[in-house]
Amino acid sequence: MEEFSPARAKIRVLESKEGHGIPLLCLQCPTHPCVDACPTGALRLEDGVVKVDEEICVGCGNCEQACPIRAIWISEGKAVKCELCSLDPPCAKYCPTGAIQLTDSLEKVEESIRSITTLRRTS
Amino acid sequence: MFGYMGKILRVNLSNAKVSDQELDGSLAREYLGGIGFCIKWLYDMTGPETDPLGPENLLIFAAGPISGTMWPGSGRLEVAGKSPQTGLAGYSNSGGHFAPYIKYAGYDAIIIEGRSDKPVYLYVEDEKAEIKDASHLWGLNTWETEDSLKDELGEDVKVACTGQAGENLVKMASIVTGKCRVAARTGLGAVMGSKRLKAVVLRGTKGVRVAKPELFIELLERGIESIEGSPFSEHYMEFGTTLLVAPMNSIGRLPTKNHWSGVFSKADMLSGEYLVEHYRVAKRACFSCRFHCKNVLKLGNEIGDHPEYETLCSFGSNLMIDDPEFVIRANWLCDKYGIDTISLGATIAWAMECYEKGLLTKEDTGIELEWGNSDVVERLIHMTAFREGFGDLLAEGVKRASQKVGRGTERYAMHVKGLEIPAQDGRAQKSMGIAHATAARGADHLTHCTFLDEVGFEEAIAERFGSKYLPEMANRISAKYKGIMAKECEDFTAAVNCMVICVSAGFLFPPLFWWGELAQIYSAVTGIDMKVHELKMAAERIVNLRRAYLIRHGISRADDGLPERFTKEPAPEGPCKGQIVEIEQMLDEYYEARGWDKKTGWIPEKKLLELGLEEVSSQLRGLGRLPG
Repeated sequence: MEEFSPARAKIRVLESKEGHGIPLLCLQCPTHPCVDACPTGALRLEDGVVKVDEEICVGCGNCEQACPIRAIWISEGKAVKCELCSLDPPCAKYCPTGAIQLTDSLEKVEESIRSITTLRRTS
Repeated sequence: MFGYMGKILRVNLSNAKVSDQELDGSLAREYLGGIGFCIKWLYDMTGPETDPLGPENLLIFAAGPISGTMWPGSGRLEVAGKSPQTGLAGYSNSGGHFAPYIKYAGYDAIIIEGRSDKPVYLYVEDEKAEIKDASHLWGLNTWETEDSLKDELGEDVKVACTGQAGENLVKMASIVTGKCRVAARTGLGAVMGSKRLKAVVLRGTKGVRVAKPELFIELLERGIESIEGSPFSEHYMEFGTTLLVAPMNSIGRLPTKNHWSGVFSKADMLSGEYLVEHYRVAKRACFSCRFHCKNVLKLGNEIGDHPEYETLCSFGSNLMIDDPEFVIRANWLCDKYGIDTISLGATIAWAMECYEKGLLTKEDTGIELEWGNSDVVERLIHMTAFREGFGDLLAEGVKRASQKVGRGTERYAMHVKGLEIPAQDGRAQKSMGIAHATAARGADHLTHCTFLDEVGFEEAIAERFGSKYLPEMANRISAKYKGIMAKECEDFTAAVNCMVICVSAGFLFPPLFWWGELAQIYSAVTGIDMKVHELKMAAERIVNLRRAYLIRHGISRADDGLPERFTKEPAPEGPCKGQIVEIEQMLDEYYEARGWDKKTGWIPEKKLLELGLEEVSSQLRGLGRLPG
């Protein structure tokens, strides 16, 4: 990390009206509506991780609309999302409370999607 | 540049001009950032002739070289201007997420001068600044202002704003960021109001470059380990400053009944444990902080941060109020109006004591004042924000209010240099007596952060000062060595506030990191090889320049005093019963440690030259304010 810039991170944090922090990052959900919504094939599944091919992405933002938790967005004309940092994500490493964890439990992922969707709705 | 963004934003509201100014490399080395820059600019660009509420005053929002990195607690903001409360150097510090975004927007600091004809806000995004109309925001409270600006501009902007109190030039008005993180002290919200500047709004995508990233990450990981391993951290992470209520009450240091006593029989109702158990809905952290010391509370339909220890005292014990829900509400109300809870609480406490003693009557106040009556206090908060009736007097702060009333009420005005005394009692912790008396911004505990004798950090004292100072330095009711402790902690606090890191993120509390660690962090981030002795000298230079600013305004030893309540009235009850503050003894020791003249409290020429302050020296000579 030679430069610290939250704007360039692949995770964002919002705050719910109830005061909770909402980390917005791709949970690599099994239904991946972003991939289905992509008109150019710029979003692809690789070993269960949705990745962005910046060469092909045209920045249309369909993925942004399709994501139930808005964990993918357009920045400088390209889709940006969490690609799990080669399975060693620093966000999880430096999270002081354990709110962000790397897990392969489908149940945990579904639970997180549910709670983030609820929080987003209230905010 | 590394660490620094290399640019200062200059804004003149009188002619609506904005411009960029290059950050001078020698300024960075000599004054570091944050409070250091603020004091240097205040000294150079304001003086005795500056009207704090005139267009000539400055309002500075400063970040520091560490702001916006991942260092825990590096989200602190430094705000400064000439204080409408003290007429001296005003500086205030807040947490939240605002300061890092000064840097992400491309700047190290924003210096605002002049006065707009109509309400405006300043919008800064990626090295572009714009002065925009704020007539639709004028009259809104700080929470409404923040919501309204986010509706208008998007939820990712960072907002610092003032409420109705600032608009109405209430002398103790604050500046609020993120609704509950407040630069509250010294009335800088009134400076904002006087400039008709409703808000500063930031958005930024720039980055803070680190010179030695690998070293920085190594230091960071070691730092995190120290924090997680400290026996004080867990409790602090859970309760934040609210954890202080119970222990401070048990050592007789919880100001009660206008600082008459330090023991409040109903303190349990105001404790962090009580608040967390009954009202907490979430935890909240300031930018990049491992301590995440804020609790989000819910009361009725409202949510917001917990009242800090200071407010639990100023609107609780010090007014004999034991209703936690009232203190929570009062805290939010003050945040919304943009009022310093410490100053207003102390001013109301003065009024209550004077009313009880018959020095103020219903004729003066319009309402009956009685200890513990929270309905009355709530009315007084509204009245102060809008300067209605008796609130117009309270809005002047306790020094001016008591001077206006006269009749002996001055005796019960708990302030130093015009700033109300916060939630400590020097009779129960002597180091706080010297801190209150000598802090440049007026009565303050956070200019010196003399926390080492609070619960007797003997190990840290041995390590930082040497074991020859034990046991006295660790003994909170011994006055011995407290002047020495105050000097060293004041220098270190100044350095931390230059970076700008939270004093409660392991630097002053808990005492985990000291000069060596701070110099390493600074060097890794900026690439400037800063030795410990150079960092110490920079800190001392800043503290001395701040003192010189006060000396220019006529301040001397005679002003470094405490209300007689602390020096002549022995503590009436509790574990420190019978104690007074031995202020003269501690002042002698403090001045000696500083190398200042004991008789006058002025700075000798030799000291100024040693710190490279030649110009200051000749100025003070011209004023006849160099000792002997």
